[in-house]
Amino acid sequence: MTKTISARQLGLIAFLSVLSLKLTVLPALFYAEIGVDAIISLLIITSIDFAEFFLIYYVLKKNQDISFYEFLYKKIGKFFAKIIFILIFIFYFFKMLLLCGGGFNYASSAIFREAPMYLFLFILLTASSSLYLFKSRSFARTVEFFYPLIATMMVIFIFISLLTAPLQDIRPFFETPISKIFETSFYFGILGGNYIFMLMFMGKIKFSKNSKRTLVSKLIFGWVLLMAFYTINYSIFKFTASAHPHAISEIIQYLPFPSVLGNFDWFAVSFMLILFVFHGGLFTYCMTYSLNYIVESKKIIISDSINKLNLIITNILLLIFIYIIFPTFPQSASFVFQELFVPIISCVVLVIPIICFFIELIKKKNKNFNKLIIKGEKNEEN
Amino acid sequence: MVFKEVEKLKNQLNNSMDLAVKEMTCGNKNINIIYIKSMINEDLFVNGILNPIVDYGSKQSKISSRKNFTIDTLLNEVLKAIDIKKVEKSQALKELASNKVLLFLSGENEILSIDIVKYPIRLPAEPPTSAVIKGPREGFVEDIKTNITLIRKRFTSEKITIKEIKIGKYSQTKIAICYLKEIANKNIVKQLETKLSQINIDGIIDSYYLISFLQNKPSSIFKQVGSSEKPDVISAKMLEGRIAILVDNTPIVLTVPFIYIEDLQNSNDYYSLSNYAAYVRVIRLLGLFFAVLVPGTYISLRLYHYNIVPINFLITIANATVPIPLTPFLEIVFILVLFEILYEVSLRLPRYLGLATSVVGALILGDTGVKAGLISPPGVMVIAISIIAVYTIPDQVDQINLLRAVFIILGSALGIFGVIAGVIFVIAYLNSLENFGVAYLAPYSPRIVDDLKDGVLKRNILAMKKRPKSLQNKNKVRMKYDKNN
Repeated sequence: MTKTISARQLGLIAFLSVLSLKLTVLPALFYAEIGVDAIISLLIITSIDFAEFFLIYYVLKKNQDISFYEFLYKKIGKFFAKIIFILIFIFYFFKMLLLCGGGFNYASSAIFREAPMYLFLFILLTASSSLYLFKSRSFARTVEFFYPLIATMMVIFIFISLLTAPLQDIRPFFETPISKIFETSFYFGILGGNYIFMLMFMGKIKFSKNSKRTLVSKLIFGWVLLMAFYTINYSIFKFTASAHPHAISEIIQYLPFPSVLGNFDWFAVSFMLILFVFHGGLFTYCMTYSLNYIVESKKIIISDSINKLNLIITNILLLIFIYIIFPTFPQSASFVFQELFVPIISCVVLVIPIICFFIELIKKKNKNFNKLIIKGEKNEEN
Repeated sequence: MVFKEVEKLKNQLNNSMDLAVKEMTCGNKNINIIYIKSMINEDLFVNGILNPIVDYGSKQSKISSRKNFTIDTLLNEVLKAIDIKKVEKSQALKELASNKVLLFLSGENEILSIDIVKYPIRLPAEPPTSAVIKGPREGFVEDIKTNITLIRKRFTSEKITIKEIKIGKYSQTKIAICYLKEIANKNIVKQLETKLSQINIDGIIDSYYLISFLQNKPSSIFKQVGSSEKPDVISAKMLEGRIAILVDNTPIVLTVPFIYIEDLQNSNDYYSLSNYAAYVRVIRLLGLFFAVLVPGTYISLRLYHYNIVPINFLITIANATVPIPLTPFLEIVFILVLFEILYEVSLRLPRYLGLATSVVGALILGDTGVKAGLISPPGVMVIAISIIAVYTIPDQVDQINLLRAVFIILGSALGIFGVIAGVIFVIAYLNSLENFGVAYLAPYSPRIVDDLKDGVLKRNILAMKKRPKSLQNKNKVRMKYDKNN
């Protein structure tokens, strides 16, 4: 199998995967539930995520030459492999829906005051789809190209904020019962599961001696920045934190910049828009990858036409949900996100790394494995 | 007497007016010399070919026992030309078409092909598009031999390899592949040779004809082959492991593999202080962003996102643009088209009219346009910045102009999000480009730490101990230098 991305590039995608909506609407929602203890809850989710990362890393390292589909097919057979892909598809599908909704809310409040949603969706879906069509190597390299810019913007933002934020005024922790903190952590399981996407890159990663260190350092960096952001957000807005759904922009407006430019809105805006596109690209990658193996069972390498067709289907499904199902049945949106997706699907998907780890330990090999058709080996698979 | 074969040759060349046949007798044999009058060095023809034959003939007539001389006698003892070879008669047409002088000797199956071609050659001078403040000023010319000489004089090593092939059904253009054997990647040389050998075209007029054949994505707006008119630049690139492709009749020499950063580099950078070179490269990069993104961003800010424009700027822009009847998009497009027309005209007008065009363009059209309230000063400034900034990277002018137009459309239709998504799209596209197995945006993506020393922030030459890894060279070490010794 062609090795298309390096461990560093994978680490950078993982770094980006923890940002995005967590910098806009989620801090406010989190605060509304448990106040400043949201940081404790975030720590719990982070720890679970880290533990899962090591499980995923173990599985990836052990299966360097086969794809995720081959791995599942080999170990648990076609039927269960498809079930796992369906779960992953639903997970990323709803994540993408959240990104579309949350992204549009942010963009319309920050920049597109009078622009319709279709304009935002058109850009987001086109950019995400093209990132997917350029294939994994190009996607990883593009993330690598933008990483210094994104990381520098985030570090500068945190640094300037730390200088001015009244950190001493942050409310005391553990005012909420511990059971409520865990309950909220469970409910906000969507904040986790950031590293499941790594499984989609199975077989394409060039591992080296220092791969693990490289990956872990990027993940820690991402989470440190996120923690710092939440701390700054809550210390600045205090009790009103739940009323600031566009956290990153609002913090920037709050900070007293000694700048001739007057304000730095554009700083946060460009930063967030770049993140939206990359997240869109990553979610589209995971959705289409899953859909490819949900509909195809005999071939390891999916043909270009099927790949493109599945990409179109994914986008159409998104639009159907956004423009037909949710507006026609408004209760369906709250059901999906409050009753189904966040508490159930998120947690089920969080279990997938554990499942993969255990099935990796199974020595049994599916007898039908050799029936898989390997076609198009010379082409770079997506 | 004109030989039958010579008559036939004349007919095959349609009895061209510049075709000449010289009939001679030497000893007891007849000689026919056929050549193209306009393509030979007459001095060499007379002194190197005619006179020696006449002298030899007169010596033969004085000797009582005449030696039965052959074509080999002429080749080895008589003729004084340097580039001379024996060929089959079947090759005669091909040799004559490539401007050689052909010598036929009666009773012989073979002929002599003598190369004394002479055509007007320009002297090496500073290329107009690559003027330098410091460093060598010589540039390539339209003659491949001269160009090879200009490269060879920089490498007095036996490791330099120059291979010649001919491409073009009618032009039979000479192409030379030039590289350093111990440095260049063998696989890339092989790939290049294969690609060139597969070209089947009627003629190669300029090296740019080859570019599409050498690119993995021929229709891409981004060139994937390097080019330069300066021998010092080409030699430096060869030292890094690149392969030069010289084409006869053009001063532009191509190099492969090519990475995007090469266009940001300039030979001046290597002949001046490295810190200053780094500073200039940052300016060039800013120039690139200004040229591509400023007009699109300006339109998007005016159309959609005036709320994120700082208030002081907003007041200035609003005051200047309120009386303009055109929409921001139309205004910018109008100014841009005006500039482009002036540019095209100034390129083609005689030099003495160029100044008049500048006056008409800058003073009359610009100034009166603003005073008449058709265009705004910020609009003129935005386009002027963008157009001037293009020339910080002169090798990317075509691409930048196209991208600017695309970003103007994106900015006006989709706002700043469209511009940002467009930038990501372009970078992703560039990342998908690979030529001869080399990543286009190396050393930034994929990041190659050692190669960053010659990136935007250029380091001192002493720091560049290794050749660029992105080019997958055979010989990685460029220098062995220890500052403590």
